[in-house]
Amino acid sequence: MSEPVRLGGCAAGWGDLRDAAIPMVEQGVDFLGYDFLSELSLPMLAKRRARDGDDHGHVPGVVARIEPTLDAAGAGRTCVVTNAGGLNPLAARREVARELVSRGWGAAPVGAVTGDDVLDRLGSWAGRGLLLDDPASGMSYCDIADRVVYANAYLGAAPVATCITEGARVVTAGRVTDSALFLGPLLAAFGWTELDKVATGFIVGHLLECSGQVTGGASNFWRQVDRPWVPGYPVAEVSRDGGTVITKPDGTGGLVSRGTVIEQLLYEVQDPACYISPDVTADITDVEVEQVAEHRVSITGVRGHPPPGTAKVVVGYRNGFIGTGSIMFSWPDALQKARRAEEIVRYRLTAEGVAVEELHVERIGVDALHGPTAPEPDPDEVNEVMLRFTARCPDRASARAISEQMLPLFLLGPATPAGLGAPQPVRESVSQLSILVPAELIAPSVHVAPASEAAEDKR
Amino acid sequence: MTLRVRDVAVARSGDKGDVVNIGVIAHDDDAYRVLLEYCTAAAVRSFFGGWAPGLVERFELPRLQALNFVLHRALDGGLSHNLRTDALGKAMGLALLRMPLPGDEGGSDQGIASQQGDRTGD
Repeated sequence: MSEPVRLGGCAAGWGDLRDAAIPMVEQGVDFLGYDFLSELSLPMLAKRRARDGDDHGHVPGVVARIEPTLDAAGAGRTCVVTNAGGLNPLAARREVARELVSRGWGAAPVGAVTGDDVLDRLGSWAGRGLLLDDPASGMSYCDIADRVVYANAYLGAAPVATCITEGARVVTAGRVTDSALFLGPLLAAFGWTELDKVATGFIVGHLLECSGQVTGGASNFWRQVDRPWVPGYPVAEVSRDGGTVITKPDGTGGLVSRGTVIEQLLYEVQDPACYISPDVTADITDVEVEQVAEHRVSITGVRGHPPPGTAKVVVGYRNGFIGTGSIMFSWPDALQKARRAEEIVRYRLTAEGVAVEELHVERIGVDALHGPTAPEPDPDEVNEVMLRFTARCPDRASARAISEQMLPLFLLGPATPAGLGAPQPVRESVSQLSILVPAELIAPSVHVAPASEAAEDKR
Repeated sequence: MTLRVRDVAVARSGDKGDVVNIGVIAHDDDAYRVLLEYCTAAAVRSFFGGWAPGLVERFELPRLQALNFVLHRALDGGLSHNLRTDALGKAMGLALLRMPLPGDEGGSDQGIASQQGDRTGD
């Protein structure tokens, strides 16, 4: 493979843009990574699987989401790596394979990574006395064992790399780390084992996995961002020696600057000397970030240490029902009226005996986003406030009662509420525990086959 | 006029479980020195009040002229559990831009640590 290897970060979630990959494909990249999974994704996929059957559980509409890349992948001009497998990587592979066959690419190998789904194994692990505790919440698997809907280990980059080494042109993984979508290709391309280089690849993945967030999206420097309506999503150019430049396709909007790269480098990081993944622990304390040309930023100085001997397993469990209700108040005295209305609703919920486990009230326009740090506004300056109630309740009927408190406010509240929309549907809440288990308990599997064969795979 | 974090830095927050991190990136070396002196873990913890009920750590990245704050138990149980509009704490980094420098140190060292993270994250 010619150097540097070029990798594109095309999606940071399954609602992300669908056309960001087009200039990458046109200008030529070796690997395209689509991160479709967030902490909220697995609960949604679990609900779909429960509703629609065992053929489901992968990211819906995966073919349409990666469509601009499929002919290039089929022809072997690029390789697409995605975690669209979600809770069903083989179903995602089958869907992609069928599309490739219909486009005449039936001979193209396609890969899937499984082994992250450990739902069936939790019980036996607990039975063998394994500690399945979530250190952050102090809860344990045993507390919620009868309410578990999914359990997935974070797999690393190695099985992704194996798929690519075995020729896969599209890889559909399940719950691999987001960075594995990029580190996997780099391991396949360079065969790196030296930990400083592996850590560099991990950090490349960390920078690309949130798509436009490194190229001027969500940036403090938003005023300097060129044409954000046609954003250039990130491209990393990585050499065998670990040399790395972050850039974006020519002719696109966006901004790649020292500032936008540092913003994303620190994003979701805890101790910068100890950024843990299943593949390597990265130390970014001494990383240098330099603007080497317009929209080109180099990264050097990532150090690597061995990964911990543990694997993180996320366990989703049913945790009651969420009901919401909101209503607006206007000047004069909008905030004071909202507070009066809150008093009314709190009293009524208690008087009516509505079962509420947790109630959160915010005044949108005043303190919803900044909580206790929001300053008390001058009452005359507040033109309008949206009062929003969100509650976790043990049953659907109680959750529904939250939105049912809004209409009476028109009749007994201060002058005058407005903006009562249709009642928000109640949703079942799936919360998540993160537990650590010995890494050797997790066994990834790799499946690579020609698209024509994978299209008929009934597993 | 009071100096605020916003005058010397930009910030972005991210979440991991029930933890929020805030990367605070100084405009230049002078600004970084101001942050080092006044933008302490104690000040940040005190500023966030009820939204920072747990340990607050500060990590220094001098080559990037940046500080990384880690606020434990800052998301009411994390994204999948929390009922806020901003369940991810995306706006918490921006909230910190309003903190005055020097800020209220809170008068207590309880629950505060610098440069000694726990190491159980992903």
